[in-house]
Amino acid sequence: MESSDLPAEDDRPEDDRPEVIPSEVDPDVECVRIEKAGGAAEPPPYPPPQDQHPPPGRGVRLCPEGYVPRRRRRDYTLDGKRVVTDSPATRNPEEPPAHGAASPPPSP
Amino acid sequence: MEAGRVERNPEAPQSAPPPRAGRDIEREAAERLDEIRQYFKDLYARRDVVARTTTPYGEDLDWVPSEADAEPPDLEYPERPGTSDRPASAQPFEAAAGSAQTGPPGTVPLVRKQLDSITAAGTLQDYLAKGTRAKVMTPPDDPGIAPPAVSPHKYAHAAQQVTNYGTEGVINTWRPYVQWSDEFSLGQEWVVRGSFVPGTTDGQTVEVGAQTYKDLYGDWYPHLFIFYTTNNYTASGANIGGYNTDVAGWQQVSTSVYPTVRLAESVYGGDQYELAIKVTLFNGNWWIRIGNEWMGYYPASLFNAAGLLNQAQSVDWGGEVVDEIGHPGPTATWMGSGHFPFEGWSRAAYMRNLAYQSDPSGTMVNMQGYPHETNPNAYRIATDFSGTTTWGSNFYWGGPGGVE
Repeated sequence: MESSDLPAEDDRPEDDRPEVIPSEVDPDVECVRIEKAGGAAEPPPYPPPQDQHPPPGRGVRLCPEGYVPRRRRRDYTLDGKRVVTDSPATRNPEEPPAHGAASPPPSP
Repeated sequence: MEAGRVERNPEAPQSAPPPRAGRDIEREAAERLDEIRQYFKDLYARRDVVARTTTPYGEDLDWVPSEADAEPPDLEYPERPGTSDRPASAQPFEAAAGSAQTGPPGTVPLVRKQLDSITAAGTLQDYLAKGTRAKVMTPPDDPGIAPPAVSPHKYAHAAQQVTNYGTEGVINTWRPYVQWSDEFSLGQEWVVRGSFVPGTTDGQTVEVGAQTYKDLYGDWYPHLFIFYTTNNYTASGANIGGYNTDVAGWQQVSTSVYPTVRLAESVYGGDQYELAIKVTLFNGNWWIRIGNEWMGYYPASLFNAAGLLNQAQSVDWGGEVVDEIGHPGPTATWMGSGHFPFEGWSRAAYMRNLAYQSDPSGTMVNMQGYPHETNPNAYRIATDFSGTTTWGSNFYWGGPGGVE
């Protein structure tokens, strides 16, 4: 006999929302349903230092309620921390700003 | 008709068909570029635009009616970052900069690309995929494939060997000049355990920082990155290691800060932008906080008992540049601001209030790192671990490259 007011697991309504949806704000971002993204872990209770940043994200919501953002996943291979590609490297079209020439370093 | 930038691979295979005339290639590239630009023209024409604004990065935003009911939480602002004598600003994180740049209530921003700035060389599908092209698999243990050439990594960093459960610090962020798309420049922390003996898989890390890497992000701008390895960088993939959310393993929690988000650029002699990073092992997860937002975590179960499952054995902060050996001469890629540490505040990159977590309960201890420069003519580090200033343990770091 069920002793809980909660329905049995099999009777619970299934979440029929899609697991991943595109962000309306940024085409490079997709939104992942929270239970598929972060699980149930609780963050540490440590308070942030007093001189740290205000919370980002005000005024912009990348994903709807119940979703968290993720850059669209891409398929590539790593060699250590370097991306392996079969296309030739391109040179940065910009030249270093003049101040980048910099002064000579002091002696090591 | 304008064409996307196309580079022909000079090493055509022996059995390849005869190369097409240059005009054919250029016409095809121009048609592809037109198709991409037309796609965005049509996309923007369908928008119900209420207002237009420009972000601090110069991106145009269309504000359209929101279809979502929920509002973001109204969080209180703590004190401003920086210190009284060296003021700095928080990361605005893209369009989130200031109420003056937002649209009317009930609207959300959509990026409007400047069509003239699109110079992609691939197809529309390539462009929308935002990825690098198809990759050649080169497993390092495959004897049938020539071993990958060694590409020098250049560092200016400080490390401390100490049992720890995490680290924290504040860095100012820049847009370093990166000379080639296959080179990167970064400033980061490493939480580390293992021998890292070459040829073994004994080495595990959790890494967080700011990285400029065209081949990874598709642009020349700095991005927030995370990285982990469970095997001394010998293999990547789901639950074994890699960047950002490109491989499984990372568990995202924050709804507003996420790996790969673009970072603000400090101005030489001007405004400074900071990124506060904290990594902590808490209840079996390696949590990462950006500013005062818990961004998410790596489950410690990704790691083994000889690695980061229960603790770390060293913390490391600093800069790294890859000097790809396929290009002539020493790379001109910058580290940090592109300026040496002796130039100091607002001109050189810095990392401040560096500390490690000395016990599982969260006690923080000022870092006492050992500085190391692989190429001191190109990139330097100048440390102050005396803890006698409001910056605690800190250092300036970076340089312009261009010499060995």
